[in-house]
Amino acid sequence: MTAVAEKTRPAISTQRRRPRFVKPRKPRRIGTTTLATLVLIFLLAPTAMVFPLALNSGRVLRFPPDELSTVHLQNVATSSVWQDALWTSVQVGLGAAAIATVIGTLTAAVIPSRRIFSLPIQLAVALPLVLPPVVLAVAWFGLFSDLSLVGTKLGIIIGHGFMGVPFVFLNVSGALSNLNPEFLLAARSLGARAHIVFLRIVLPIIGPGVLAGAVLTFVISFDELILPLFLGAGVVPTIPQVLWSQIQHTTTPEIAAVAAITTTFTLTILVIYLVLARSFGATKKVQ
Amino acid sequence: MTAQTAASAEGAGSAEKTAGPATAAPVEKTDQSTPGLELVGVSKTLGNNLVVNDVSMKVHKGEMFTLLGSSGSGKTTTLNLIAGFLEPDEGEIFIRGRNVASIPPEKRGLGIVFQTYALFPHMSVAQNVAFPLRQRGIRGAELRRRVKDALTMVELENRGGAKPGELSGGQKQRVALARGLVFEPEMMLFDEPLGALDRKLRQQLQEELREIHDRIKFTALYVTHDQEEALALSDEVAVMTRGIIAQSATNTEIYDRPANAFVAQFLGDANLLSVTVQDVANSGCVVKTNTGSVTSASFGAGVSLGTGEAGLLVARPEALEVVARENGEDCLVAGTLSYKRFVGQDILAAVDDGTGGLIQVRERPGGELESLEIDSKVCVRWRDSDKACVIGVPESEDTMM
Repeated sequence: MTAVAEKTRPAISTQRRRPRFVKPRKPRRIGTTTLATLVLIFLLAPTAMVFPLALNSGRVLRFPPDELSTVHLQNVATSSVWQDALWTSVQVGLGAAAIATVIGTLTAAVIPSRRIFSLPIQLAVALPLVLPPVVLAVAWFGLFSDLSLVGTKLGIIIGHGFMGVPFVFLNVSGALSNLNPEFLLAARSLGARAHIVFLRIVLPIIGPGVLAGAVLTFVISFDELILPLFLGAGVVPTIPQVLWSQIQHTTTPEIAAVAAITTTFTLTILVIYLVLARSFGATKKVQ
Repeated sequence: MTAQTAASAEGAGSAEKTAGPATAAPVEKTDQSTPGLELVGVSKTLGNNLVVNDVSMKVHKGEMFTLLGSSGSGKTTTLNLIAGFLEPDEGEIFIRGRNVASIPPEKRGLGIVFQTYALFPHMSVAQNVAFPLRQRGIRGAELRRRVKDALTMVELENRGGAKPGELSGGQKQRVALARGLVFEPEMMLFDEPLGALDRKLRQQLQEELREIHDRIKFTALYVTHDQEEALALSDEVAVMTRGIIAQSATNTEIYDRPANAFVAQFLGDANLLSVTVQDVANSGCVVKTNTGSVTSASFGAGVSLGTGEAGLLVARPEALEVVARENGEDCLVAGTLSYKRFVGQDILAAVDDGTGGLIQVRERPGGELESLEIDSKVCVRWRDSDKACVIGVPESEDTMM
């Protein structure tokens, strides 16, 4: 035993030189993995539930489903009510993303990066994040009823755009910190006119941040119920709004089907966003 | 579109004047009397500060000219005025005889190497170098050839595909140089490009830059606060302080014959001894120190003092030596040895002249200094009396720094 131990000493000392590769293999990891799995189940299970519910063939919501069927998915896909709702939600989401992108990007560009963490700016940026949507909805309602924007898509677009500004602002601010002011001077001196500098230097560097903010705003708008409920006055049928009004009368698997489709749609967009965020992170590392 | 064509026509025009980056260059054949860069009475106020105060200077074609100054001296502002990033309040700037007052930065045709290199992080090394060529409408095989030549010049031909983030500081600096030179610019501007590098790498890159400059002979203005770098790199050095040029001369002249006390003390170390002019000869003068020692000296650049006038004797530490003092000999300064320190290849010593003033001396080891004891009676005398130089007494204390 002793002889063996002595023979393997060089091997041990090699391992010691690279302790980083040894540490993660500690048994404690099993506990961590279990905990992480439980948390993941807790987070994902309710969302995952909509898929079996949506694939139910019966007329009532039941889990587990008696028989798998895509009949409700087909019904939803061909229903003009849901098609209208999807189209309305997409319009509102794109409009909100556009407003949030313009305002958020301009704000980020105007405020110097060192002042982003100053209290008044943080407050202004965090306000739409921390205020309950109901409070926002009431405030917007008061304003919009004077401007006769209640019951219009534009009203909801403005409201959702406002909610998206912080997301665009934070993402673009992060991206702008990668934009060394000397890049602009260098590009100019190398012969690029102002619009070329913007297209070839500024946009590629801050673009991922802008896009990430826009995508987040779209997703938030797509899933948000309170503002359409208050400001839509029942005549702007976004998907959450139609879901809400239907669920008050009946709970059919059709609703689960809509939920499943919406979830898939949102997840797809989020995956695209995460991929973008990763490539944005890579740019940051290069910097 | 018209502007684009004009820009590429300009590019072609300058291509005739200067040689390609990678080819051993025939020296320019254009009229040598037109300077590569000329500033005439240029002033600029930023906020309430007169940052550049009536600066005039000339950089000859193919010359590497250094603007040397501490931070806040106005050297970087001067560079920004030349680049077109700032507009002068007064005065005119000519690049190859062309008044650039109304010409935007992108049309000035200047290759600039920035302190942070300013390589575009989302482009590869080759794309960075190709950028100025693309702006001039150069595409295809010629674009590839010129990018390759430029990268070969800076010995980075194998790193074309790398992103700037993957390069070392020295390599980034070389890419920035290649990007600035690849389009055969009217001239190069360097804004403290070696400031962020360690001493050894800095010296190596200075050497490489000198070598490339010797080969291509581009006109360059080099801005730095590092006096050693300034002397090592340039044919011509201008020392700038508080927005004015204190002296502009060749690197040897500015060191050996400073025009004033500021330059004498800014470049290297200098002992300044109060003297009175006793006699003026054709090229210099004879001066007498306060302690009665008599020395012949040359005048600093542009300095002219008459017999009986007060002046300052510039005595560089390395032009002096310390010996033991007997009685009655002729010392430049007689005093006691205050300290001596071994600093690598030299010994630094200071001699107290008895009035509280310390005279600095720098000697190679092996002299008499090594065996001298602290507080012993010593004599400071010239080792190299050709270096003795007399300048005027500054009018006010603040120009002495």
